[in-house]
Amino acid sequence: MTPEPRTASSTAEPVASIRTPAPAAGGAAQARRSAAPPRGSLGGRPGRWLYPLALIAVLLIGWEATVRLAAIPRFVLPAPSLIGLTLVEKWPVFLGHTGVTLLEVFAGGALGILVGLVLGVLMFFYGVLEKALYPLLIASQNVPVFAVAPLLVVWFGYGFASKVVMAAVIVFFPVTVAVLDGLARTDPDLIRLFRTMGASPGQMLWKLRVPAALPSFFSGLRLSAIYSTIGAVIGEWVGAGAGLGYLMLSANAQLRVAEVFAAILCLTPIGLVLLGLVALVERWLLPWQRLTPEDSDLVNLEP
Amino acid sequence: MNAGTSAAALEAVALTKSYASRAGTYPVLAGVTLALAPGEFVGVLGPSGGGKSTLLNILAGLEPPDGGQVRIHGRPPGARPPIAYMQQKDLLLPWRTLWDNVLLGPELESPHDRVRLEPKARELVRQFRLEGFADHYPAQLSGGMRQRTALIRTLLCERNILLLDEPFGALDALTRRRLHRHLLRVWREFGQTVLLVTHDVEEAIALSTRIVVLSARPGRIVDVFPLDVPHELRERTGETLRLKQRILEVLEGDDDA
Repeated sequence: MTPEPRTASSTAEPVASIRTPAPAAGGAAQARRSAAPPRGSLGGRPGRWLYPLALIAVLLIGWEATVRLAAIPRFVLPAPSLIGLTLVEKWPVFLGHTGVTLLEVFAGGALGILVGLVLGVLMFFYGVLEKALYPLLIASQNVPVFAVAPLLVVWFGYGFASKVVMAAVIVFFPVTVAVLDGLARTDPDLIRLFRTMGASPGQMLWKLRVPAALPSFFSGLRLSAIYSTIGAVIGEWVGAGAGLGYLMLSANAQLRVAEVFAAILCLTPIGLVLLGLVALVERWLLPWQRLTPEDSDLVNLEP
Repeated sequence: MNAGTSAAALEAVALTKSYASRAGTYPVLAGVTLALAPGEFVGVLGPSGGGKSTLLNILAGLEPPDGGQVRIHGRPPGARPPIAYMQQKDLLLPWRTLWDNVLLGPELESPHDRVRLEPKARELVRQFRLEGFADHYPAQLSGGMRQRTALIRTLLCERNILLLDEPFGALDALTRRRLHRHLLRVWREFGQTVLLVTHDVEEAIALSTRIVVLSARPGRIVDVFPLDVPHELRERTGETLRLKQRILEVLEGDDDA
């Protein structure tokens, strides 16, 4: 078929010439880096956290001052200091309820992601299923989740299960759409390239469609991290014996508003941690996503 | 299938193709017949929208022709024709490093092929001056580097027929000239049969051993120019300049019609 490469004769020339410019170009790139740190590097970090933290501090001080100066009763709006004190005093209670909610969020999110993944893949492979199911799924999203929540309590009880299902019900839809979209929107030119290379259907899926769909899938995961928390708390509001949503509701009913705020404070990190987790996995699995020619070692060795 | 036609590596016989649009069907190719001898480097020139890419798609087996046929070494193409196809878009997989992109063809063939071709891949990466970038992702590479990577990938498919669809169209003039030299060196070394579609007359003259001029849509061959001048001398002879003039006259004449 193809003749053997004539290694000896044709390679001597480029080897000699490539060696010389490399160190110079590398040095130039380094010099440029130290002169002006690109965005996202260590140089930009403090500013990224400083400004929002400063804003939070200002808002808290304003809040504290308003409550004290206007003598607002604690059952209407507690001061931040009181909320902090409540959290410290009753920390075992809050920890326990946070644990319950966290478990529901994780389990519900995982279930929703799994269902969304399976549905998305099935709908991609079976066009009939997509045609039949997609309009129904879209329509189902117009039903407020609050309307379904009481039913779920009837079906799955006051405990863990109904919250997990609630979270899963909210989570699966964005994941389904993300998976289906990701798989279906593979660049047609890449599909043709794989065809001319004689790729099998399995290779087409695993070496092209799946990796191409991953960024879209991760967008779905990011949404699910947020939705899962909402789902679990809604489930707890409708009927539960434990969890931060339950705590908020019972504290509210007894006008212990500081506890409601403390519960909210416990809820916030759950979503943030989940989002961070997704981002971490994404960065690890898809390191290529955030790269530009600036990240090259030898920027100036062009072409 | 007589002895005369089977000598050709790649053959288009009376290819016709039309596309359907809302206004009706419009013909894109009106009977294109072309035979490439083994090791020949044929440049196809023509006005844009003249069906050049359609011709390549049909030859690559990506689209069926309405009429006529494609023959490879005298026979109709099988399931896996010995054809590698490269386009203007580099079509590198963003999630693969340069090294894994380059070895995509062999990898799809078999794990064994990938291992077997790694030394050749290393050699080509060095020849194309991409050493030190093997672990870079396409997003970290410049346009010229990406196109060279795509060219190496095409070469590593080990197909002896190359279809190149304006592979250097998006590059600046200097980078393009360098890639021309790379391509010529590889072609001399491995002796593939090449069909290069381009809209750049100078590029066709710099690379081809024969130039075929396609008409405006519907595409048919209006003229053929053999090039006997050795590649190294082409920039320096008046003959090439006259050839360029003649080709441009044919292209522009067809435009007026």
